[in-house]
Amino acid sequence: MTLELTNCTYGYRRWKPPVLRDFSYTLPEGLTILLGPNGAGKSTLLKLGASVTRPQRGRVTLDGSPAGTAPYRRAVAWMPQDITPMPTLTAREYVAYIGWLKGMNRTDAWKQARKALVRVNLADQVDSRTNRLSGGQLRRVGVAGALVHGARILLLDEPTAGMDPYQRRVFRDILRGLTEDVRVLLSTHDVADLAEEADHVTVMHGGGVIHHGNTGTFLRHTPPGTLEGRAAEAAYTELLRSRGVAA
Amino acid sequence: MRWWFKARKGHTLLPLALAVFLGALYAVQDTTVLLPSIVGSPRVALSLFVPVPLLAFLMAALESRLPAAESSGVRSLARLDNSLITAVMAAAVLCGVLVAAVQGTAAATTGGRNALFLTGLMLIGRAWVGQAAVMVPVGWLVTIAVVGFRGNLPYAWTVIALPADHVFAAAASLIVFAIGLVSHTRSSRRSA
Repeated sequence: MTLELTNCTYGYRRWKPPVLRDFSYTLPEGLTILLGPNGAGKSTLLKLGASVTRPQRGRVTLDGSPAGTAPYRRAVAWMPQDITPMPTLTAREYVAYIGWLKGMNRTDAWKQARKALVRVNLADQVDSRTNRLSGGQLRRVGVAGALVHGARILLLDEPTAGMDPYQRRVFRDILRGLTEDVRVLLSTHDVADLAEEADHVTVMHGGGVIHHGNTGTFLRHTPPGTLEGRAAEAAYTELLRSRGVAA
Repeated sequence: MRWWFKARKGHTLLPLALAVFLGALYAVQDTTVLLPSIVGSPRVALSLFVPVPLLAFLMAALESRLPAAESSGVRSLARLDNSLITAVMAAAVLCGVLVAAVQGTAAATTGGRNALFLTGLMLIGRAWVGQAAVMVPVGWLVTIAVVGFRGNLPYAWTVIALPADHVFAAAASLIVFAIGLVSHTRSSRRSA
């Protein structure tokens, strides 16, 4: 399944310059890490991909099917930066509700919600109210919500923010466990943590893509003499510096 | 649907809201208060303010949601939300009729009618300013208190200050409520 943005322009306010201007992007296969400084347009790209906002110009399609249609929305899962806790819902109800909203029937949503929570290591919290969960646990509930309906495209906005090292490892295991035909676009600031898992790296700045390629190409930006384990971070910094962004 | 209802706190907030509304409507009866005004000092029925907590509860219920999941989902919740709003308003009108029957005065029926009108205003405002629209009905009440009376007689545009048997007020309340529902549906579609 190919998610494509073609010549998209999007701005939050009419009187302000658009965040994305004439932006085109095709999500490659596998896991793509989306990097970039704050305000680069990463979250906007994910929102357009999730079809929660429409571009003022341009098209967003999934295998030719326009964004916003039911088949499109069933195939795409989006996990936003902020996961809203819901005091009246347990973790399982929360995830099942997301599944139901994505078109699953009640029985399937209820069954799959438990499975999704087990996948994110929250089997012991299925009946906990979501407002009682820690920030990291709540993010894992968000990840479970993205997994519950078997989407073919996952758009994850900083999913590891606030997770401790153990939870991050669990999250990396989940990414590894996804079937090959699931494409993932993951926005993050944890460059070092996730770059080694990625098939591709996209770097955004100022509403445009300043680098896109496989992880090997990205890591070639690593300056010589970089400490072991710091290659991805150094490559990212060097890439931004070479484009005059770090200055 | 059950999860949607729980997400909207329909099982906790709304019964509480209606209980408060019913209690307040029963308690204020025909009480009037003297309010400061630009034109004269009108005595305003206290029941005018009774719908305000109900509206606040209703807004809290509508705002209790999973914005990301609801705006990227396949199911449209606007119809369900509209049904919820209509059910609450029907219950409010019923409360008014009930209190009026118990007290033997028609004044309490204005509570339900006014709830309809003010909810309509709030929903129209919500399409533009979101949660802050709960202040729109409050603003309407303040405007009425300040410039809505000529002596002790309300102007027709105030709607909610008109007597219980006023046909124009009843019709205007229904129309504004209907426009509110349409605005709510349209804004839900836009945000989706």
